Amino acid sequence: MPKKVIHIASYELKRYFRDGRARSLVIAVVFMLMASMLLSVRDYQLSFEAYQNNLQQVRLNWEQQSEKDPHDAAHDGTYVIKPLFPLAIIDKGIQQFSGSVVHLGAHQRKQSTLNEAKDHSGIFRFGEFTPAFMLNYVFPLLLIFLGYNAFTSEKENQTIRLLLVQGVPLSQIALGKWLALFLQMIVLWMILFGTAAMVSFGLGADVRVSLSEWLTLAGAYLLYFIIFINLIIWVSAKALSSGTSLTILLTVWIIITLIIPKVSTNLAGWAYPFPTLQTFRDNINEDQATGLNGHNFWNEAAQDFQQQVLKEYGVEKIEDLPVAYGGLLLAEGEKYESEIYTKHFDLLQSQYEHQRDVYRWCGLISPMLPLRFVSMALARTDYGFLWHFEDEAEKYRVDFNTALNMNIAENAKGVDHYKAGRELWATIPQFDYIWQPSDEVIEGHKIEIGMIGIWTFISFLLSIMYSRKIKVV
Amino acid sequence: MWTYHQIRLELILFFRNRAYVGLMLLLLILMTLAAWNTNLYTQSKKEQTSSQLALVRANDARLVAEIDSLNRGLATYESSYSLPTSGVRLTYNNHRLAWLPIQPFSLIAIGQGDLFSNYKKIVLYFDDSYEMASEELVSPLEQLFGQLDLTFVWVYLLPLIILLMSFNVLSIERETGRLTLIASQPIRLSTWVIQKIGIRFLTIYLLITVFTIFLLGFFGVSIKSNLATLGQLFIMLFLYTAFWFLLSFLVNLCGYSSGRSLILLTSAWVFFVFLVPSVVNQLAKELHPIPSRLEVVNHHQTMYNEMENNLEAEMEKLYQRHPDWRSDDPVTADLSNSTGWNIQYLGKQYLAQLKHRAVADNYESVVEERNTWVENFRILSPALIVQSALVGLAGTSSKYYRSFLRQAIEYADGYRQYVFKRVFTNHTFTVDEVKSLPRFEFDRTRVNKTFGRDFMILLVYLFGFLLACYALSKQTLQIK
Repeated sequence: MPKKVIHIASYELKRYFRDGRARSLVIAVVFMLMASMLLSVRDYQLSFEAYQNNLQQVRLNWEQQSEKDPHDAAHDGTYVIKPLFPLAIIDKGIQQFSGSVVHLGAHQRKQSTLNEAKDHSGIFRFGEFTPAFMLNYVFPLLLIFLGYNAFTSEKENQTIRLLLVQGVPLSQIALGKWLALFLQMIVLWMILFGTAAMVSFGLGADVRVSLSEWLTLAGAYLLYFIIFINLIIWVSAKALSSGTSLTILLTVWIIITLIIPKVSTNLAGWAYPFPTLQTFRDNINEDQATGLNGHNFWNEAAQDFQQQVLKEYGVEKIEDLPVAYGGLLLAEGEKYESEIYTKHFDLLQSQYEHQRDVYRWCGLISPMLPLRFVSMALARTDYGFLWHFEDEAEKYRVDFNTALNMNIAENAKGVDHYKAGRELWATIPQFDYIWQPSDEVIEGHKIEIGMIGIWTFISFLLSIMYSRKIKVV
Repeated sequence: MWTYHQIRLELILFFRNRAYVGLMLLLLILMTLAAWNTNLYTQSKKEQTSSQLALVRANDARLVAEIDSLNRGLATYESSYSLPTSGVRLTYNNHRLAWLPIQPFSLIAIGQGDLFSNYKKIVLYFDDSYEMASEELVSPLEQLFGQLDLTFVWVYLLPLIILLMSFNVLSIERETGRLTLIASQPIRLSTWVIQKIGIRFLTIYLLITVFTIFLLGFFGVSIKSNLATLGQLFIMLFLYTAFWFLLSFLVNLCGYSSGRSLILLTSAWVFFVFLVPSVVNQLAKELHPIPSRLEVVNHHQTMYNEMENNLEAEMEKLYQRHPDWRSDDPVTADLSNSTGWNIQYLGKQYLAQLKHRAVADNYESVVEERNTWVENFRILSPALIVQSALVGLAGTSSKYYRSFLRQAIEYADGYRQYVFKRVFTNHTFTVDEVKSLPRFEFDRTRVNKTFGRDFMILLVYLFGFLLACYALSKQTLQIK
């Protein structure tokens, strides 16, 4: 790196350190960042403790049920609770909006429920004091406040001419100013992510964050800040006065962080709306009407299944079967119904994938969108995690129901009002959620990561190239 | 004194500024987009509710027709499960609906409407006391990023546009050296600054109010029959716009450079719009922690298990509590019959709910207490006051939805009492009884109104700022 660039950067840094206003701003933001991190960690620990306690209680409630028909137990069902990933201390994502548990019962796949946001007043929608809030909104604003006059102050004081007559090319001046902002940013970035990494090891979570996840998350935020530095240098080089520069940068900030995320949400919902619950249910009912249903012995599908069972066991009448036919029908009906639900939930998921494409297009105007998607995905607080969890819960629900229904098939033959007890409830395995591997998550967001990279590259080129064409006279 | 000439000159300068005109256009575009989006959203909510209402009506009409056919001897039914006059049929095929009517001014704020649906299905066989919620298919991403509505434009973006238009009213004159020239004119500097800020204020205020009337009319909101609400909306917008202009005036009076003034004003905006609400939320979490709702669900399940383990005695208690539910009809005690099975099933759900009720109610009162505590802190930020007032006018606030859900749960209780007496005694339902089943009516008056308080708090803010401006103008509007 040319010496002049280093000189300019070091001069700029001195200027920042001497500026009481810049110092106060940096101190205030660092304080808020650390406070948000500590509060987030505390919040995580409390939630994790509640998660473990509730998990035990859910299991206890399942095992302590009274004697009953296993299918009645399936109807009463049980709950699976969404686990917490340590990176949720950085970004809570949709966690508060998507519900924390799924009820697993017979015949029906249900969505997550117990949405925490509903218990809050409207003030909650203004935002939570979390590291993601600080990093997405406040940190770029700090960079703007620090650097908006990087070039304009030189123009206003006419010192840019002095620099030029000393033979410093404009591109090197720009690089020096860029470097000064970058160095300040990277120190704060290291403090934050270093603290977050250290703290995450002490969380006591049952899963560790991989190095690739840490690097991708921290790297994505680093690039996001670099994009803002590039834009700041570019606008400051173009603007004629500091006031104009700040006005333009604030407008850019408003568009990137406030307007585009909302507009993209509206566009996505408008272009690819979710069906109403009634339509969704009607479609499922329509598909189920002619299929197997564990409680319907008489429709065509049930008759076909009966024939298949009789053939399989080599008998002619249900009474001759060595097992209780009702249990077999319930188990098979559950599988069929689950397939129907999977089909319709997959359609819903594909609608969301279309919506995600809209968010990607809007990411061409706002780098915050791809960043937020990557950040939430790595923190396992995004929609992708929700789908993955619910899909896994559904697989478990089918196994759970099959185990109970097959118990009827095996034991209810010739028994009036068959009932099972705690021995059976205890044999049903607990739901063991396996996290989606980090490379799969990163792979699933390579477009967003690529977009952040392209934003960084183009904005850097613009900032350096444009600064070579500044009118100084 | 202000002269016509000075005001005309200021107006010409103001409207010749391309940046200001651009900002005003941006404001109008955003308001149009917001109103269009809210209108679409509201329409879809109306459709959701009407499709649910249509379903209830269709099911009821089918039941009435079947009872009628049965009475005329035109149809026969083999099982009590499908018999139209039986309680079993009513239990599982004919649910009720509680629904929240969309308020006329819903166009101004989606508010919490993306979290709650405007209807709640009331069923007899499910305990919904712990789920103060309603269901619809919504992407949680939509809820995270929020919807673009007029309240968002006014509360978040309008102040920024105001600040960008007024942050350098005085400093730009000082920086360009024109201030001494202006001071040499026969006009008091304070009058001149007030005039400049005043013209911006009136232009912006007139722009948003006139355009709001246009948008309301365009999207079919009856202004004539909602003049009081319109007046309240305009009062709030007036006070909020005035607040930000006064703040800008105050910072201008401090005599800082344009850049520094804008940083100060933007920091104030971040403080009022982002920091105060998020810190209040965090404080509420620390000082009014709410246990996980799953604990409440778990409690219900524990009570259910307890009751099931001692079912006979519990059912006896139920009949002691409701002697008129007891019946001598042997069918009601026959578990192999769907009537008997249903009575026991409903009884179990009801008993578990009774045992669980205190915990569920306590949880809801803790939530209410926390939310009231948080709402009281809205006095710390005019943005919070205005947001709270506007979602109140639109009928899309948390208070509205939570009141609706509470009323829905009360209605469900009443409905259960009415029907259970008949179901438990194997009553034969008639056409008239089905037609006159209790209906839900939302009582709007049960939602606390806070407009008066919000208005007073904003007035206090403005009065404080006016005093500060007056004091500061005495000191700083002297040309040295």
